[in-house]
Amino acid sequence: MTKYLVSRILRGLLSVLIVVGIVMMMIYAFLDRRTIFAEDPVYSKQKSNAKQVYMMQQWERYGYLDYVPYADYLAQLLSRGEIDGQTYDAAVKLDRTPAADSGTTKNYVNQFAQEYEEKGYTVVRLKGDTQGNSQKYKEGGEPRLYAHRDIPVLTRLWRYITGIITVDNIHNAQGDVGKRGLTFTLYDPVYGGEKFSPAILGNGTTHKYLLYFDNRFPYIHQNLVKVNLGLSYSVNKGVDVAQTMTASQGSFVRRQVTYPTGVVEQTADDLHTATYSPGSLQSNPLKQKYFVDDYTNVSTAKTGLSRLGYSFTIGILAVVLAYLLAIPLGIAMARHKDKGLDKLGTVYIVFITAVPSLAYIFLFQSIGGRLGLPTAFDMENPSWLMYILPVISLALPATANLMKWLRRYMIDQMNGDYVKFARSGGLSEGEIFRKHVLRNAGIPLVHGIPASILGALTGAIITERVYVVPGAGNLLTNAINAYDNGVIVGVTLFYALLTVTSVIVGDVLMSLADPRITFTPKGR
Amino acid sequence: MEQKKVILSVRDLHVKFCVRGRILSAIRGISLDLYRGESIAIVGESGSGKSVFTKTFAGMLETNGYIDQGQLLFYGVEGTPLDLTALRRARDWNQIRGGKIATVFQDPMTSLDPIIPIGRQITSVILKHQACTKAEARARALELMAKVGIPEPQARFDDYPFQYSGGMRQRIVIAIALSCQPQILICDEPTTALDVTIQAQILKLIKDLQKEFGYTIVFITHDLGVVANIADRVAVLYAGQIVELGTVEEIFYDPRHPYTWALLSSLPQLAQRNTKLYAITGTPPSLYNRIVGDAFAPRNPQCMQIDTLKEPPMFRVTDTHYAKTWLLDPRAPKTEKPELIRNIHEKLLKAFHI
Ligand SMILES: Nc1ncnc2c1ncn2[C@@H]1O[C@H](COP(=O)(O)OP(=O)(O)O)[C@@H](O)[C@H]1O
Ligand SMILES: [Mg+2]
Repeated sequence: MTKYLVSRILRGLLSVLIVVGIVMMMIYAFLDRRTIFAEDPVYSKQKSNAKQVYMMQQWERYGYLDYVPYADYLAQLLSRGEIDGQTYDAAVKLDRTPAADSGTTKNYVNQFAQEYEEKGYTVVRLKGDTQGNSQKYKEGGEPRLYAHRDIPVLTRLWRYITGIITVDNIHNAQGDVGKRGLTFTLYDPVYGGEKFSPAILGNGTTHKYLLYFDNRFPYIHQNLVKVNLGLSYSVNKGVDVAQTMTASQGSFVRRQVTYPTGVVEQTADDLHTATYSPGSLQSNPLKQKYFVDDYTNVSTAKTGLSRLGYSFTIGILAVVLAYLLAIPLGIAMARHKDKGLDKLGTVYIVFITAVPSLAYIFLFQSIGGRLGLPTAFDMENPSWLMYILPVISLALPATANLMKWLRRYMIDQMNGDYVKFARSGGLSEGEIFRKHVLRNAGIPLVHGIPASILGALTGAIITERVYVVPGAGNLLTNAINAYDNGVIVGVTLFYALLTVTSVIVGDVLMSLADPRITFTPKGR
Repeated sequence: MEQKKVILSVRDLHVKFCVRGRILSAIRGISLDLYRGESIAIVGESGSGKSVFTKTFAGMLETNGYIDQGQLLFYGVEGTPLDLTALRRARDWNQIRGGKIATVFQDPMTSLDPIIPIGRQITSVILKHQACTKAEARARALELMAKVGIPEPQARFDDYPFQYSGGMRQRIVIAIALSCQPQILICDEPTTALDVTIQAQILKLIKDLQKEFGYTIVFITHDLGVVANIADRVAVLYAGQIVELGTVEEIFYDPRHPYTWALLSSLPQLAQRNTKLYAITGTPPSLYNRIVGDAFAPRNPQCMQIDTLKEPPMFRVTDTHYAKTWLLDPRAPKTEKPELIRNIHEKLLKAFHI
């Protein structure tokens, strides 16, 4: 069993890898990489040579290529002691055209070009862009020199995969942080140091808090292991997809917080999210009031759930409601096949299947609105009522689907020979139902449960849009519209993992319910 | 058969099915008495109505079928007989099914619930039909498993059906049927799905256990070959009617109906070297239409004019032997049974013992 599971999981991961690889291939190799700037306001403000450089910088940041500006090269030489400051200052000055460069500059430019061309880079020299005939450069028109080299998709894939999970460690923070190490405390200083609340703090780590408790679900949190699914370009610029999906939303929550300096304030700052930001304390006098070290980069606590949180809450409620409705209804339809109830149920199933989901979601919305239920999500004034309509909109079609299958499975079982044999042995219809039909019909149903539950995490695009739910459902469509490739890949990976997991868990559940299915090679 | 006591009396039974608005007459007037402790075989080709006929005994007809006419008098309970055709409610049938009349079906592979251990399937029936505790039920189930020939029942008690072979499953099916302690055991082609050697073992098992449990066997088969091994009497069914009824000896050595002749002639055991196996020509009549005359007439090589006009009555040959053919009418020309089955006794002996 363990062996089989391990091999299933490995094969599942391999297929996830292949899917992500294909998606990456499609969007990074076949798609014009300029499209990522489609929704970028900074890009449209850039002019002339600066625009080229901006593009290079962004492409480097989002993993398309390696980019080395000439100045960086010189700085590197300087830091290695191969040149002195004077030479640096002389060499870094580029004139309008290469021909006009000074001797020193020419010398180092050639050296730069030679070195990087050898490494397979393309060296680009942008001529100074002057205004008319004057010597003045246009805005952003200074001459530029840089080398760039594309990163092959396979390398990207490899870097992406290996970077998905990062574990914080005490050598992460650069610079002088004092004594590196971990401390364990029973009294979290954030709460004033008197309330019992264990925490693990790090010095030298990226995150200050590696493990802590607070009053938000699931109450215990960690920053030790981080998942990185890929940086967003436009949907949530510069933030990782995983963070985009899991960060809380809504308005700030102010609570009493004790800062490291001992200052106590009502604030939304969430000190548990503090990360290391080198030199930040020194350069920002404001922060010196609160912080004692460079762990000053904190995010704020908000009232709402995360995107995943909203999607999952609605989704899981809908799944539970759907099963609660569909199981008794499907059973009743099967037991009274071709009678009134069955016909009514069939009408419902046909209605849900035939009518586009948008249509009945609007229908439910307007009916719900008449009844006085909130028809839009409001994170500022959250109430349980606002969940009702989205949950119903999701549950009713799911119910129809489940009813359809359960009825089918039951009827198949009821026509089974073993049912006839049980009946000929004098078992009552009720007993046959309970002891045989239900259990057998339940097996294929059990298989689908993990998929429905995990599927709730992906969010429901239409429902969430209609009810303005800030969920995860529209993340992928938004990303596609905005050419936010990092998010597309990240979300693809997330969905693929969910699917593979739910199939494997479904198979395991089914094997528990059905003795004919075993995971030992002999049984197969 | 020392003292014949009727256990079930079928009187002029007609069964019809409603198929997409058309009426199909599956059983067209059968009268038959079953005796306590006997073993009767019902033979006939596929579609002749064997299953439908016996399904009526336990109220197991599909929902589109109904008893149009006739009576089924069950003498199993003391006192007045119970007319099974009058039973309507499922609860009443549950008093009959299993405890009075149990059925073993054709396909052992699908007769058991695939996801419940064998032992539990037996004990649940025992608990249903016999007043006893769980522990006693288990002991009885193990005993039954041993009786039907499951080696090491203790070890196999918690196995699932898929862990059993076809023959073993049919033994379990028989064990379950017997755990109801039925008075009549209907075996609907119980060996058709099994291979030949297993077939013989199962037949012997059913027959052997009859001595101990004292049930009446109604054995359905389309294979006359297995009849000799199990039955005291044979009823030959054709197009929803009994065309010949008699003891095994009478049916094999003195058959009177041309259809019985044809069935016997097509026994593979009679096929001689280098000759083709005898096959009955034509197909049975459609049961949707009213059948005029003798239903077998169109396929009967010795068909007479009257066969096509008027349905023959049951002619009595002996007290135990009846046949529904105009050949037995005194006015009919003398017709001999086919050459092939004349000295059937020696041929069969040769086929079976050499
Ligand atoms: N549920 C049903 N609906 C319609 N026709 C049926 C049904 N069951 C049996 N029949 C018909 O009744 C006839 C007898 O069937 P059956 O008793 O199963 O034959 P067999 O002798 O092979 O057991 C066949 O013509 C069959 O088509
Ligand atoms: Mg049959």
